[in-house]
Amino acid sequence: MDKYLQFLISGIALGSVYSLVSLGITLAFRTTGVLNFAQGSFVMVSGLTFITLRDDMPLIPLLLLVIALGVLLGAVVERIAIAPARHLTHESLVIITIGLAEVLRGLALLTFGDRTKYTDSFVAWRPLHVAGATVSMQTLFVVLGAVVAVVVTLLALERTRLGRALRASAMDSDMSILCGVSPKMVTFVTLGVAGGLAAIAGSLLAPVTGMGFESGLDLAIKGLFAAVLGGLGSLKGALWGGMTFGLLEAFALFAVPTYSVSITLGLVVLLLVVRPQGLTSGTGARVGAL
Amino acid sequence: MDRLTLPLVRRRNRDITGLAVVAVFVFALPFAVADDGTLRLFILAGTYVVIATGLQMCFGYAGLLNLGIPAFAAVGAYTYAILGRDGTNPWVAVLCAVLAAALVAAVLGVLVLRLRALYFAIAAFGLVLIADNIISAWTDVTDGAEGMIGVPQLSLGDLLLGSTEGTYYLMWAFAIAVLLLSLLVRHSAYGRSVLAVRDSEVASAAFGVPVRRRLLEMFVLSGAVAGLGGALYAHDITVISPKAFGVELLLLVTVVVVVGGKDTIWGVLVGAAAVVLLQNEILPAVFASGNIELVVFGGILVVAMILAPTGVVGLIREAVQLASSRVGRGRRAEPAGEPSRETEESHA
Repeated sequence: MDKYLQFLISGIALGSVYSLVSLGITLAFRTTGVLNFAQGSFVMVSGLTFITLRDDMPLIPLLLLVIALGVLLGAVVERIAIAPARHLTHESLVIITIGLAEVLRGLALLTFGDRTKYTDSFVAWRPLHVAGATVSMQTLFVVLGAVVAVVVTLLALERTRLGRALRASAMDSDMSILCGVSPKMVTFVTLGVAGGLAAIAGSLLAPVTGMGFESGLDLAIKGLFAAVLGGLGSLKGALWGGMTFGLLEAFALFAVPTYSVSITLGLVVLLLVVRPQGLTSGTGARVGAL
Repeated sequence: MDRLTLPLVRRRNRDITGLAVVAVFVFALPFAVADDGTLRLFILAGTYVVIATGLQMCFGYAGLLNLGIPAFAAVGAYTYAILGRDGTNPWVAVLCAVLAAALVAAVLGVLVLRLRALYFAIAAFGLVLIADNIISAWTDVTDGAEGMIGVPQLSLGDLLLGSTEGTYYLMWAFAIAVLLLSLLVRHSAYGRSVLAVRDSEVASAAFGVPVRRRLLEMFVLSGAVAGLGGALYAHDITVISPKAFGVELLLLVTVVVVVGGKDTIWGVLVGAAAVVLLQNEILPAVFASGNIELVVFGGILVVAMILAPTGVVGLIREAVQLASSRVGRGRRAEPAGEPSRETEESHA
């Protein structure tokens, strides 16, 4: 039993990270129509930055710095590559973000080298033992950090003027423009937020799995599958999709470790065949809800 | 042959003539250029042409972004290598490779083509990870992540095709064949129904085009062609590993199709030439480290998509139209009818 509990715990931790990635992807897709294949590379770049600067800075300022850099990365990428391409089709935008992902992968290879890098947990406290399962402190931080990030993002979307503008743009882009919401500003802010979310995911994940220049691809695919599982529509769906994907992967890792990737991705495809609208009923088909 | 179909036939014949010129050039090249290095570059270009045509047909004609191209090439390469190593006739192995890749495409297509177009792109991309995972883990059959060595090579009777020259002719024979296939699809009633599906699924369905079936057929065709490319690659290199069929291959093939122009086979030829030159001549001359490749090709993809979504061939065509419409206006002092039809074609 404790073995299952152990995998449940690691599934929840994985799911928290994937939720953050798929939240960034879904947010960008709903508000700007960009399906961001580079989201995983944002996570990878932030994670590597976190690991590299870890020895030079205390934790809290480092986290803030990495998040700020993540927002900056998202915003810069938007200015350079997404804004000039707003008029293109979804498929063309996908190709652009694949190009971006490869550029970031290449830059990471040149900057950080080809080795996977590791770093210590946020704190050196001893792990907890719950009902025979071990919960490391970093696992707790991953889950807590993801929850805080998600809650802050959702609250900001709900309560702030800017958040309302983003939601309005997601509901009806033309109408929001008529009401004075600048579509340029929306894309810019959204990609910045996506970059920030990716930076949080990267910092949380780096001490658990380590990070290498190749990590971005895996994360992008898993985040995209999670987002699709959530219906690519509502943010709630994105969170459910991420969590489900994490749990599926944890149990695939448990049952057949060598084929876990194939089994998880295959299961998601089958789930989609059965429920094309995603997991959360109706949200994928419903227009406008964020 | 009435007035309506004549321009279509003329356009098809013009393209076939062009391809014939390319074929003659390719056949004659080894007589003029004897050095091994140049021929090797052309073999590489031929490999890209075959694999990229798989993407070009699917994306250019049907609008399906088949990001799983490297996975299909991997299925082809490994089917060929495994069967060939077990003593199957290599030609039969090539056929099996094509069929296996087509089968994988058919299964995935039946499952995910019902979903939204972008879901399809994501699922196809996932196939790259799945292929890498299965090849690396299934060590009994595939020799795992280290790769397979000693892949057998094709021969014609007693003539081994493993030499540089033999591989060159083999590769380009298939490249020309695949380009011809793409061209014939493009210029047939069937191909026009595919283009119609790309431009509007609703409208083409209203005209009786079986939309799902067209998409599935193009996807399967795309997988089969990529599988053929993979098998030929395996014949050429004789050492295959999952690394060769990762995202790098997807990046290069996408650059070939996007930079050249996805609507015609000429784009594939231009793109393959550009990528091979850049990868093997220009980049090594400018940069000391090969690691710059990802940045350069990724950057090219972004810039090309923003500045020239129709590719080099599209740009040339626009320039020609602009020039000819100016000439026409000067001569007849009225908006010419001829160029406007050309415009329609380029948007078709």
